[in-house]
Amino acid sequence: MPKPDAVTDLLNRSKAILETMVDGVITINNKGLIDTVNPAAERIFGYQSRELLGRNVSMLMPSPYREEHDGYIHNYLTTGTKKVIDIGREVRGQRKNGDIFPMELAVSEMLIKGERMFTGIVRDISERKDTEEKLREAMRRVHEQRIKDEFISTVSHELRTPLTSIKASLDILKSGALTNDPEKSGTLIDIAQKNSERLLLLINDILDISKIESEKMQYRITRIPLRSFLETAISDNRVYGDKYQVRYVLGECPDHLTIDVDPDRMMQVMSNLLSNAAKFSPLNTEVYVSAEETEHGVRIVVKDQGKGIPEEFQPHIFEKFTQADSSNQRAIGGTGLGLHISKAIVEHHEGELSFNSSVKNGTEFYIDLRKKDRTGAYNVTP
Amino acid sequence: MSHHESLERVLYIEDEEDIRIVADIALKTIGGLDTRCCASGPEGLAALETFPAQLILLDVMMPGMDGPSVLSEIRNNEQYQNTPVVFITAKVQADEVDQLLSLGANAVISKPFEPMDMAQKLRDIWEDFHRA
Repeated sequence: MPKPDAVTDLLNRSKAILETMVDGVITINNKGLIDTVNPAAERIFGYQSRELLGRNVSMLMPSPYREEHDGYIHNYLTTGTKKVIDIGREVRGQRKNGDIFPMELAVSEMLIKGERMFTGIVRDISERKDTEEKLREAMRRVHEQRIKDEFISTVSHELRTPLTSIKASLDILKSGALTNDPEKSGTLIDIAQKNSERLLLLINDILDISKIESEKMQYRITRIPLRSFLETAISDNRVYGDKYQVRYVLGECPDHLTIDVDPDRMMQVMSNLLSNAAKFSPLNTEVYVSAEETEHGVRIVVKDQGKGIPEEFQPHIFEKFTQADSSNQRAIGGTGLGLHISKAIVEHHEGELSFNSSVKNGTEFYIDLRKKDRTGAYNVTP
Repeated sequence: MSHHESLERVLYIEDEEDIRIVADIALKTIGGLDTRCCASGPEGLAALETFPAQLILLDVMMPGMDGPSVLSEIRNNEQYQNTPVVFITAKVQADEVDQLLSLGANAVISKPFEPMDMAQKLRDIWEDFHRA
């Protein structure tokens, strides 16, 4: 048996430890009623100890944990299933002023005079969480800034490329160095003109991206017959197909199908898909356009007979400037923005733009538009 | 002062056809250089076997094999490992230029370039290379 002095000394030491601890210590009985609290627990939760003793510990928890707490204890006492006992975990506490804060809680069980009691050690981690959140926010900003910088750098590069041909052609022509060479002069005029058009396309695409990202793109949705829409898409893009010696063919498309779309914007998507298909098709092949009714709406298909999209490139196909990514590699032709814009346009119509591609079967792009509701606007008229 | 031959033969590797055409006029017709233009890295590397270029002008962003990869191949080629290589690029921000120089290029020319001065610029780079 320790001597009375030693017992007093031990008690004093234990009390001093509890009273000076940074972490809160709360003991509760098997009914969840608070038996003791140390000063740190008072400070963390904003209560005086007299406001806590004998009250249910659930008062220190926010909903829905507050309502569920008695059930936890009951469940443990009857089944032995542990949720927090002997397991440290991150939970939420509620201060007297109503503030909810993150805390680490470690609960242990003990027997005092044959009664089961529980000790909870509480650590307020608001400050740490706040710092972590600020760090995450700062990293997110850095990431966004880097994406923005990369975009500006790529835009600058893409604008400078046609500008190089235009400026050099005009500089040479202006110098008079080719006055006696009408053939070369003609070539330079053609180059300047062709690249001016390319520059214009690029600027239009960049403006579209800017409108999409700031959600300022205007859509005028009207109901149009699908078959005639596809016929128009084919005839509007025929010149492009001719350039690559590819023929656009309209396949199956039930006459009764209609779609509710912005015709100009959806035509922009079709032009992009048709021009891509032509660019990546072998000479003298056909690109098939068709449409079918699906369970949820309508699917437009553009199918080429090309070599397919390289597998490693497929996950990036809808990204901006995918043709001019950081790997310094670029496919020939196009602004590298078309599919990104097309996807955004289709998604604005609550549709989906997807593809299936293989070396053997070429590439199929799908525009899936779905019925909007049962009564009003349909993307499909049955 | 070192004695060296003057710059006469330039190999230009560039995937943009229109830029190849204007550069060819700028270097050959206007600048009087014997110029060989190639549309890709592999084509350019193959051309080096028959065209003894004294200086190589190299685009950075090209499909398939990009400019830095071509430079690396050139540096591994015993015959051309010391040949001056000049990057020509539309990536013109200071850090991008520094990065290209750090790869071992002798100079970087930005796009758009000055077609009337281009050959002279390459001759200056050639002289600097021999002075260094």
